[in-house]
Amino acid sequence: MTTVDIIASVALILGAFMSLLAGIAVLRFPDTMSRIHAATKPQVLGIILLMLGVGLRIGSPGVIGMLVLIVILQFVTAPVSAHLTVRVAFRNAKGDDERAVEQPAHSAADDGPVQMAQALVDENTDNPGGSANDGR
Amino acid sequence: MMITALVCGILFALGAAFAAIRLVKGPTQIDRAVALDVMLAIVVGVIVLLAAVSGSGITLVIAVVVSLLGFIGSAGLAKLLPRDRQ
Repeated sequence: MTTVDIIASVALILGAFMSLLAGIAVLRFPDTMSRIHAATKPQVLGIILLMLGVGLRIGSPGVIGMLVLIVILQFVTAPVSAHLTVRVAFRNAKGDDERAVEQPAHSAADDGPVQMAQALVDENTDNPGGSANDGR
Repeated sequence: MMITALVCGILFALGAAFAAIRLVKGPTQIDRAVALDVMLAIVVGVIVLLAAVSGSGITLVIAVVVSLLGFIGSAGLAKLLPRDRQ
């Protein structure tokens, strides 16, 4: 076994260990949203480590291109599917769980240079009435 | 490489077994969707391990297809599950 083979083996074992961690987390965590959180985070790191192991073992450029393709696909699809799943879980948890609260709507127009300038003017001139916008 | 394959195989099998227990036990449908997502990621890992052991890169095409199908499955379940139903 050459050194490259040993590094590839370590990478493969670590990648498989990440999948085991995801499985244990999905089984043992108490809440749906915690399970989603802990099941999608190790997924991408495990895939990267596994690809590292395979890429070190088979060095041909065609294979490495396909590995890069798989990693890019996982980067693109894992956050999207996690976001969609968490939205449904949040909707289910909103009634029962006291930690799931709707945050107040904050649009892009609420932080801008105009609001910052207004907040500076207010605090320098001691404006008692406050500005028309809530300086959030 | 055979010892590595054996150890990795045992780790994948344990992870898939735990996800399968959650698939059966999960109180809501979203728990089952997450467990399926984990199982599909483990399937991708097993195919990649097969490519590493056998030394041929052609089996990685299956991994591309399975990861795309996993995404479509979990996104479709999340979109199509009806509101307020467990």
